Amino acid sequence: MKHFSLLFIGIFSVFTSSFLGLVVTSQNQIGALEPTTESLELNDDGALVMIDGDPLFPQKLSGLASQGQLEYTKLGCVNCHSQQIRRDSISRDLDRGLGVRSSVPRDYIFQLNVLLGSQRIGPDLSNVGLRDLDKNWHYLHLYNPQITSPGSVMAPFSYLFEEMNGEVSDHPNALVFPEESPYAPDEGTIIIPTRRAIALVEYLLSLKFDYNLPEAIISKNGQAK
Amino acid sequence: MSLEGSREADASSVSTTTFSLKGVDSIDHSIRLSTFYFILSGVTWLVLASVCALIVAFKLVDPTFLGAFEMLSYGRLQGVVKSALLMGWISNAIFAISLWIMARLSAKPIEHGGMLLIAGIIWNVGLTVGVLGILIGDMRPFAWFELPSYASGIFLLSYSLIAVWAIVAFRQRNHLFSYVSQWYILGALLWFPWVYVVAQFFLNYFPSRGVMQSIVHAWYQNNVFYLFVASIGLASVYYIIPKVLTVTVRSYHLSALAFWSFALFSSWASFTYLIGSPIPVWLITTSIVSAIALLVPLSIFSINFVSTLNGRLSQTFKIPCMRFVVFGIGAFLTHLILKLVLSIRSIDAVAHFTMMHEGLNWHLLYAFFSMVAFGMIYYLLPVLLNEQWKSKILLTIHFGLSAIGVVLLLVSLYVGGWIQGQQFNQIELSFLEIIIGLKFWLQLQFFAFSLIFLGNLIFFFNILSLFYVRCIRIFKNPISSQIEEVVS
Repeated sequence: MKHFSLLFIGIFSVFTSSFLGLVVTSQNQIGALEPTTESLELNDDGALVMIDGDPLFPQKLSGLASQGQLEYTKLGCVNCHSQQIRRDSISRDLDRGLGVRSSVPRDYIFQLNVLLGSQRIGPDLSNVGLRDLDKNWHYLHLYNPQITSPGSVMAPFSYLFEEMNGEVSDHPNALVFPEESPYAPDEGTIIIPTRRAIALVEYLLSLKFDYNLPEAIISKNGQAK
Repeated sequence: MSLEGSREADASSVSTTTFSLKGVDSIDHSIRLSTFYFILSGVTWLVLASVCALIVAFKLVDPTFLGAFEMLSYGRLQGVVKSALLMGWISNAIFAISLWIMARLSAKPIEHGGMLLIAGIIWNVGLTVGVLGILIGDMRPFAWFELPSYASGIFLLSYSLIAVWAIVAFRQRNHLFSYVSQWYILGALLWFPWVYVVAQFFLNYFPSRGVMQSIVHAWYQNNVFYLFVASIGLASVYYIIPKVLTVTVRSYHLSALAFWSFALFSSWASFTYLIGSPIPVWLITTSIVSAIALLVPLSIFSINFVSTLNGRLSQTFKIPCMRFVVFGIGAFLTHLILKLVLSIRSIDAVAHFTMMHEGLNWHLLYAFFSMVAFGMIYYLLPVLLNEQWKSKILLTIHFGLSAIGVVLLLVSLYVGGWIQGQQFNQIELSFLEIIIGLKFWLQLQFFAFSLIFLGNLIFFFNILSLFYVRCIRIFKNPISSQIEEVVS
């Protein structure tokens, strides 16, 4: 029986060391981060404090964008798309124009589900809202990626759209297809996004790390590609 | 009962236990039904997982395939593949194998076999509910942890009903010493629920703030892979080599050091998948150091396994079940080497975010664990059911398909992933050009999954046919089955 107790203690210690050393310690370090102003100032006591009256970052998602994030989660987008920018010293993420600065833990504090992702079968989306793409482009891309990105391996999400009779001018959100696109619907019918697609695109357009944080200053000028 | 079956010869031949035929029979009888149930349900999940993996792989070749069905979208099916593989096939196989090895090595029957069966049914009901939940969109966004939180309670209940009997058998074992196989099983059975509960708390019940979720998720995935899945794989290897080849494991005394160092370092190397991610950098550095420290258990495993098999390879390859085990050992050693190499920062700078990470996962779960589990099941089922495999050729075909399939899969993921990473660092190439350039490797991946799928189907067929033979025999020979009923 002595054997069992010794083994048990050893097995328990391995688990505890890893749990305390890795999970609890990092929870203490970053588990309660708060939003902050873009830069800090010295107060009279010589301590760094937030500047009164400046806006706080990161900001919370709008209601519609939060719904969009849920759709993003439910559709499993995280399987192919990451949402993180690595530092310039170890990667070419910034050279590639995936963002204007690297991402830090504070950027994610308001996200219900953190979707860092581990694969880039598709491009990183942490700054997709900074790219020069309008709503219609996103709708077309979701409806059938071949319209905007021929050769892409992304799945079409046509079930997020509805077909109805009418003219494009009748409906504010109707998809505007490029001239002579083989994917365009017949004359007299239009494709409109459902509420889910509207929320998802709202979420995608809200994705941008375009603010400074004291620990992460914007380093690249110009627009992200 | 064969002579081999009645001789419990684990690694240390110094302490060979022999006990009566009746003793072995009562042990086998105590878990016959539940073991068979675990194996059968595991294999069913395996077939389901490989069908879904096949569809998913084809979607990367032709994204419009089944594109109109939301339930069968790429993202959701990926969740089904991973859940069915980990919680379906691998967990059921682990229950079957670990209860059997524990009972045999402790020379104690497992008590309450009926309870095991009920617990097993609950487990599979929970998983079915969870998989349906993923299909209707209740998926969690954490790889290998996609099952919705309402399924997790069912798992914990049924898990405790299963694992406790193996631990009880170990505590009540008939002798004072213990085998390394038992250490790995005891560790795995205790580590899994602890890790699983922590992950449930931090990710599902009380989601933690910000990237703490990613940290807990990486920690969960790593610990389940190494402390649970790989531990049972190692337990099987340490059990089956001396048992089937009737040799002792070389340098067996080192295996205790390997056990503790493997557990500690592999658990601390949790964040090699997050190199460069927005998490505290000391976590990453610690993980890289621990990954390099895995050289200690790696060299002991090499000494233990390679030098034991050295010179016996051709003899070993004649035994069908041992082919799987030898393949699995090779896969495990190469997996550890690759894990170590890929955690070096400059190499990770190319490999990160590519298919190579997925390659490491399949390397451990399929090329190592599943292959060893196939070998183990091919060994234990005939002993358990007192039957012989009808056709050795089908076993060989299964081995061929699985081995070639998984090698091609790993080649496609590693080579394709490396090319992907290299091109990713050439900033003049766009994402679209990179993924179009990967076409050949994605097609190869699909081909590899087809071979794996066929192999798994044959495995399923083999098991069913053995069951069929046994039923026929009992039917034709009712007296012996009546005796069995009386004994029970």
